[in-house]
Order: sequence, then C-alpha cells, then structure tokens
Amino acid sequence: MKYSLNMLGEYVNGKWSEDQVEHWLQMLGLNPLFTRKNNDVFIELEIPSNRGDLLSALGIIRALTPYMEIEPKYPDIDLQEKSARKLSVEIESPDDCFFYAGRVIESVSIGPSPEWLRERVESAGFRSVNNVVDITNLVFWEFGQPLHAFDIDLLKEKIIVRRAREGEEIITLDGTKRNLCNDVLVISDSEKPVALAGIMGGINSEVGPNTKNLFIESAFFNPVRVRRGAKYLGMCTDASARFEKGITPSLIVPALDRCCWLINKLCGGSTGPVCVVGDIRAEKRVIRLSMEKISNYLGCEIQKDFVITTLERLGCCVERQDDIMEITIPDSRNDIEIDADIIEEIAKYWGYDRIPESMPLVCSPTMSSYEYSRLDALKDVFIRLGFSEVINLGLGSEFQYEDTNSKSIEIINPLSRNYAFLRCSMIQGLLQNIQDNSNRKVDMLSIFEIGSIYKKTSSGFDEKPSAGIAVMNTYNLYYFKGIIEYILRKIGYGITSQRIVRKEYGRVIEFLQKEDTVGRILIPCDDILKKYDVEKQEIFLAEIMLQDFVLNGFSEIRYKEPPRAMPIRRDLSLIVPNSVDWRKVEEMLLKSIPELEKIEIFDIYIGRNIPAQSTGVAIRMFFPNPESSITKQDIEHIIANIIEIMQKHFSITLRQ
Amino acid sequence: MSHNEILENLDNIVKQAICELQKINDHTAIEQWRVKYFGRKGLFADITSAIPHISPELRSETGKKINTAKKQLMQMFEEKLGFLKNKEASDTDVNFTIPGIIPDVPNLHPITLVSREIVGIFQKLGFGIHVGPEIETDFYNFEALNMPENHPARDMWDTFYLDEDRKLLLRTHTSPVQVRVMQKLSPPLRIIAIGKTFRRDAFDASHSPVFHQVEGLMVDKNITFSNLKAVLIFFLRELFGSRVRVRFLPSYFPFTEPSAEISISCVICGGKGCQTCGNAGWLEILGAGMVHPEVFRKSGLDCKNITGFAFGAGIERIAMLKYGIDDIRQFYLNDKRFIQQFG
Ligand SMILES: [Zn+2]
Repeated sequence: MKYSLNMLGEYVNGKWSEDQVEHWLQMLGLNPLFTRKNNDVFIELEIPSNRGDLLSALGIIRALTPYMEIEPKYPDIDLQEKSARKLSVEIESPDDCFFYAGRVIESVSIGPSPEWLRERVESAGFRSVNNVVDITNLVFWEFGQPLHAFDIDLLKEKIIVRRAREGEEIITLDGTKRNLCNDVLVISDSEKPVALAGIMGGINSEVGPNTKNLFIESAFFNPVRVRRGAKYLGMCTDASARFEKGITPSLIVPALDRCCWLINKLCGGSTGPVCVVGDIRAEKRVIRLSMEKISNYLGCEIQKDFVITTLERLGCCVERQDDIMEITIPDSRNDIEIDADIIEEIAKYWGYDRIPESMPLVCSPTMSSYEYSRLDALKDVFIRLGFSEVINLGLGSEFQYEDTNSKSIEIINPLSRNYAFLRCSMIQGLLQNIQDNSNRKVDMLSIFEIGSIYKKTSSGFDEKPSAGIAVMNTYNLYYFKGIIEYILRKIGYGITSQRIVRKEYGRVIEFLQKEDTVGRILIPCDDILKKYDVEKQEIFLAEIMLQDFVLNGFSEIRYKEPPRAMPIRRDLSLIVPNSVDWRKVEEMLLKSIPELEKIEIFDIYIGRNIPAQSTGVAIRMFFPNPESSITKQDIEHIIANIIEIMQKHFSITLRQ
Repeated sequence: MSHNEILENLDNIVKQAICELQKINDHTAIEQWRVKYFGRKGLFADITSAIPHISPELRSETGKKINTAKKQLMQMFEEKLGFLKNKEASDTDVNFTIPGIIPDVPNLHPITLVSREIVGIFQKLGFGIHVGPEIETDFYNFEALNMPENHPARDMWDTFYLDEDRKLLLRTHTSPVQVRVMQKLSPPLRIIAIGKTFRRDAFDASHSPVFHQVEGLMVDKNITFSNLKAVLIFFLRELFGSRVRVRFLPSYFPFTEPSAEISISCVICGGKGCQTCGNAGWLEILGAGMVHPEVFRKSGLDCKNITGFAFGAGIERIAMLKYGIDDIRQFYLNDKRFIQQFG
C-alpha cells in the first residue's frame, strides 16, 4: 500500500508540514521513504508484521495523532437503504469466518472511474479497473477493511463461506487457474467457489462492463485460515496481507456502508439492507498499568499527563483508579496485549532518545560455557602451528568423504541443489578451498576450520564440533602427521592405536582412542586431486572430532623438573622397510634397553639413495645417565646392541 | 736542513697527510697517498735522508720523532684501508636494496577476529559466553520466542527446514540460546551467544544463506530500558570509537517489548551521507528490546520479579563496516589473499 501526502492530508482538519510528517514517521520506527512526484509526495513505510492497523490511511493518521495539534477527519457516510433485496449468506465453518456482512445494490451503471477517483486509487498503488472496483479499493485504503464486489447475477442462490473441497478449482481475477484443497477457505454459491476468501475474487463472478446488480462483501476471516490458504496457493495479495494481521471488527460495517454510499453516488443504483452472519467479537480489552511500572521498566520518570494524553489520542480510554490506570484498548490495536505493549507506546511517543542511559549495577558475572572458550582457544593452537583459519558455509551438494555408517542431512526446502545438504565432514569444504586458492595461483596453503558437522543417526540428527586441517605444498606427510599427533596430544586424546584404511577417495590413517576414531588423516588419491584440479600439488587433509575435547579440555599441564644430569645423545640414520610397524620397534627397544629413555625421529626421507619399499629414518636416542655411570665403552656397546636388535627383528639397516 | 727545520717540516707533512687521508674514498687514492708519503721516494724517505746532516746529539731525538709520526700515520692508513675494504665488500657482497621476504603469517578469519573483539567488550561487563545448537527445534527458534504456529512474524525469518513436519530447522538467529540459557541458569544473568545462523536468502552482496550473529541477554531484578541503552552505547563506542553517535528508534520483534532498532552514525562519512549509509548518515547495527514476558514464561522463569533486555547483531555486518568490506560473499570464499589482510 502506498500513501500520498496530499491524500493523507484530506483526512485531517488543518495543515501539517511534510517535514513534520517525515519526522513523526521516523520517530515511530517506520523508516519512511519520501519520493516526490507531480506536486505530491509518496510515502513508503516499513510496517511491522503486528501492525495491521497501519495498513490503512486512517490507521496511519491515528498513529500520528499524539504528535499532531490538528484533529483527524473521518470519511463521510450517508447511506440510504432504497431497496429491500437481500442475499442469503451461510457460514459453514464459523471458526474460519467470525463475521460476514454484505449488501445488495441494484441497477448500477458500471463504467470507467472519474478522474479524481482514478488518480486516488492509482496513487494508493492500485490499478484502476472500473468505478465499482475502484471504490472498493479506495475504501480498503481508507479503512483497512478489504471489500469485494460480486456480480450478483452470476451467483447461484446464495453465498456459502466454506472450505474448498479436494479437487475443486477456480480461475482467479489474475487469470490463473488455482487447484484448491481443504486448507483454503472459499466463498461459494450453491454450486461452485466464486472467490478465495480474503485472498482474491474469481473470474466467474467478476464485476464487468455489463454488470447490473452487485453484492458487496465485508467480512472478518480468521487470520490463520487466510495465511494458510495463501501459503498453500503461493499467493500474497493486499487483502490477504491485511487479513493475516487481523482486521478491525468495528470498521467492517462502516467500511461496507461507505463503499455502498460511494457506489450509489457515482454509479447510481439502490442499496438493500445489510445481510449479517456471525457475531463481531466485542470483547473489551482492558489493561491495568501503574505509573511506577512504567518508570521501573523504562528507567525514567514520565509525566502522568503525557501518558494519559498519548493513550487517549491513540483511541484508548483511560480510567484512573488511584495509582493503577485501567486502559481500554481500541479494537484496531490487536497488537496491544499486555502492559509492556502500552509501555512501548508511551516510550515511542516520548522518544527513545529522551530516555537517559544508566549502566546496570554490577551483579555477579555469569560464567562462560566451556564449549565456546575451548573451541576458541584451540584456534590459537592452530595459529601457533602456522595454520590460517577458514570458515565455510557448511552447506553443499551431497557430501562424500564421510565415514561409512553416517548419512548427511538434507534440507527439505533448499535454495538450490548446490546447497541442499549439511556437511558431515570438514574435508569437502577444505578441498574446495584448496582448489579455489590454487586457481588463484596461491601455491602454498596451511588452513584449518573449526565448526559443526551434522549427521543422521538412528535416534535423529546429530551435531558435533569438529576441526578440519589441510595443507598444500607446506608439509610432507610425516611433518603433517606430526602436527596432527601433536594436536591430538594437546587436546588430551590418548591415542591407543592407529589404522590404515583404503577408501575410494584415498588412503586414511585413523587415530583411535579405545574404540572411537577421534581423528583421521586423508591422503587423497589421484582421482580426487584431478577432480579438484590440483594434481601437481602435495596435499594432505585431516579431521579431528572435538566432542571429547569440548567436555574435558586441553591436556593438563603438570610441571616435571628437567633432568639435571647431562644426558647422552646418539643419532642413527636407518633404512626401515615399509612393512615394519615403527611403533613395535620403539616398543621393543625401550623394553630391552633399560638405559634408553626415549627415541625421537628428526628426519625422514624417501626416494634417492633409499631402496624401494623402504624409508630413511634419522633417529635420536637419549640416555639420561643420572650418576654419570655410563662410560663411553658402555654406550658403544649399547648402540651396537640396538643396531643388532633392529637388524635381527625388523631387518632395519644402517644407512651408509 | 737544521734540526728545527726538519721538525717543522715533519709537522707540516703530518698535518697535510692526515688532511689528505681523511678525504680519501677509494683504493686508487689511498695507494697514491701511500706512495706520496711512504714510497721509496716519498716525503718520509726524504725527511729521513736529512737526518745525517744534522748535529749528532740531536739525531736520535729527531729520528724518534719521525718514527712516532710515521707510526701514527701508518696506523691511520691501515684503519682507512680496512674501512675501504669493508665498504667495498659490503657494497658488492650483499644487495641491501632487495626487499626482505615477508613470512607467511597465519591469520584468524575476520569473523573470529570481530567475534573476539565483541566478546572482549562484554567480558569487561561481566557477560559470559554461551553457544547453542545450529540444528534447532521449532520450539526454541519460534514458539518460545513468542511466535506460535502461524504467527505472521515468522515471515521475518525465511527458514531452512530439515523434516517434513517442519519441527527441525536450521536456526535463523541466535535468540534460541537466550531460552536455553534461561532454562539452565537462574537470574541474575548476563550472557552473549555467538554463532552461525541460517536464512533462506539467496547470495548477493549483502545477503548470505549462512552468516553469524551475536546475541546478548541480561536478566535481573529492575533491569530497565535505560540500562539497555547504556550497555549498548558502551558496546558500540568500544567497537567503533568513542566519537560514534548512537540512535534508538522503535522496532518490532515478537520476543521483545518495547523493541528498538539501533543505528550508529555512519563510520564512513561520519553522518554526512554516503553510498554505504544510503545517504541517510545512519547505519542500522543492532536490534534490541526488553525481554517479552512470554519468553520468560516459556523459559520457565517467573516474570513477576524480573526484567531483562536482549539484543542481536550480525557479525559480518559489523566486520564489513569495520574493515570496509563491501560484499558479504568475501567471507566465505576463503581466499588466502583476503584472510591474510586481517593479520
Ligand atoms: Zn555514510
């Protein structure tokens, strides 16, 4: 709905300035947009979804009244009933239509609207159709009560307000054929639907150039019913938007009467008595409120005079009972339900900017949840390791690279196939990041992402925190593996075993904590590299499940005094057959050589000078030697022993 | 030459030699200098050859003086020579004009950076940080926030649903965390929640189906609208600088009453009007309000004795204004050249 300033000005006694109106609308939070056109100003407003009353000229005027010094002026109604003709109306489902009113008008002449009317409906945002339709729209614009005109000669017998039956259809005024269902409320005659109640009329009862006799409808349809019907049909009209928010019961008949009066004035004809079914719900809404509550809520004193004047100018009736005001709310304001709603009205007209600021007193601070602080701190661990953070949408086309027994969750109303699934692994997003960066000629990348992954489980949907890590040309496999192992240790995971799994998308090293896979490294196969257009790059990915970490936090830091004695250190360069499980080597050496404290790997090489199916491993061994009792000869002996054990049990040889 | 003449001559030679040496700047010149003074036919050879001609008792003294002067000059000569050598070596061994190699410094995503800044401000005020699930139920996302089924306000959030009954969805805002926290903790409480939210909006420069929000909630006896204003003005001035002006206007959210829309004076033009603020001079930055009693009730709190305020803002929007990013899609391209700018 559009509002022209000139037209709005016809509904007040006196003059206002454009600047005033703009300022007032601004103060009400309606974000007015003023556009100047042909000596007039057109106002577009953002109407909140609870303010159906503002979808009408009189509603807007009413909302401005507390600011104005001039008074609102109501449209004239001077209807004479000159015929006795009525139409029978039945409401089949009273829950869907609370009230229905209508009048028959006989012998009208349909034609184009006079210039003043055409101009008015057009500046209100409607298309001018003919004099009768234009009048219904003008009155709708004024009162916010949607009206509909039927050609009564096209109606069979009577009006029935009922749910559509499955399989029924109707061609609406926009020329579209609509297939109806039981969710949709229709106006029908004794044979067929003739209009979608509260949404749009049907072409089979349309008022055209040859129409002689009219039936004008003004009703109160259940907002939920109109909303559901419009949703089902995928329609949104001015009328449905208005009905969805609940119309003003006390304006149903006045709007009908003004419409009929204007039709008689412009198109002739004689109007019959009002046909009414149902009962206008005339419950009086009274809200009790004290001045104290207002100041406690807003944190400032507002004068009682201001409160009462404002409410009265909004159409409320205020009765003073000692300190407690009893406020009767006009039925146009169905958004005002509780005392806080009234406080908002008062604050609005007082002006939010006039309410002073005051810092709340310190109450006991609230603790943070571990989930936030731990995941946030983990980001710093990655940063220290040289990884940059990425954030992916987490939506995509069907996800792969998941573990076998999970299924990704599908959105039932996705934007497009490309964003129809929730990720169940971090891998896909990171591969995409690698491809995108590689395409942009970035040749080295170390990235991580911390976020949720989602899976379908037998009991429902599961959302878990996860970390994804990816490198391109920055680390070889062993350094990357070392980083992952460091993080697993840092976040308190005791890895009990690891498992190598071959998948169609590559090889996977799984890290297990007891039975659970808590981390995985993926070495993507050539097909995947080709798919992402990064065949020539050295790429590794990993994923770490963070659920246990969120519960338990980082591994505890416990100080241990470094040994005071100078340790003895010896390095060896080995050739290790790939069939050897290195953890077994370490295990055996530590068991058989009591003097040996630990073994560190400090370099790994493959390729040149290393036999096939073998890996070059440089190890560093530490012997604590607390009493300086190990002699040079002893250590030579121990080393010889170590070499022998490795040779004998694992066929490990020294590298020349 | 007499003894005195020799000494006077020596004095002049030394002065001249020092003076000349100081001006020398290359190897050729210093070699010429050496020949001139210490060459076989140099000035010192000259002066030394005069010694036999003076009286014998003064010879040794004159000789000593000549030697001392010679030593002094030779030392200066060596120093200069060393200096010239170093100078030439450093000029040719290393090219200092080539720029240094800047390391590949790891960076946090700007969304994390802005989130941390926001968290830091609210932690000063004693707020705790909480999170909630991204897959939410209709109850937490709508119903508990005073939007029963078929409530027209639900249209304000275009929603992704995960089941046919439309009971499971991707949260459209972080407000459900308010309800979850109030169910778990009792007042007084002050929290913020940060996280991913989802709306069924197609991508464009200012919309993304996935974005981040920060949500705040403070509940206690006697919390007022005036408290809300003070906390949010503090927050916005900490975030955008103390000179920023803050405007509160009425708004509508089903879960707050009164509700407010909060704008700051445009950080680009300072309020004069520019493209970023649509010539209005103001930028909408927060939605806020006093917690609706129905939300307390749905969270299981007795609303008779407590009041509270809540607010929410988009992290991307704040980051865009802070860093001058004009397209929200940049956040999700994860271009290294983008992320690296925020180090
Ligand atoms: Zn600006």
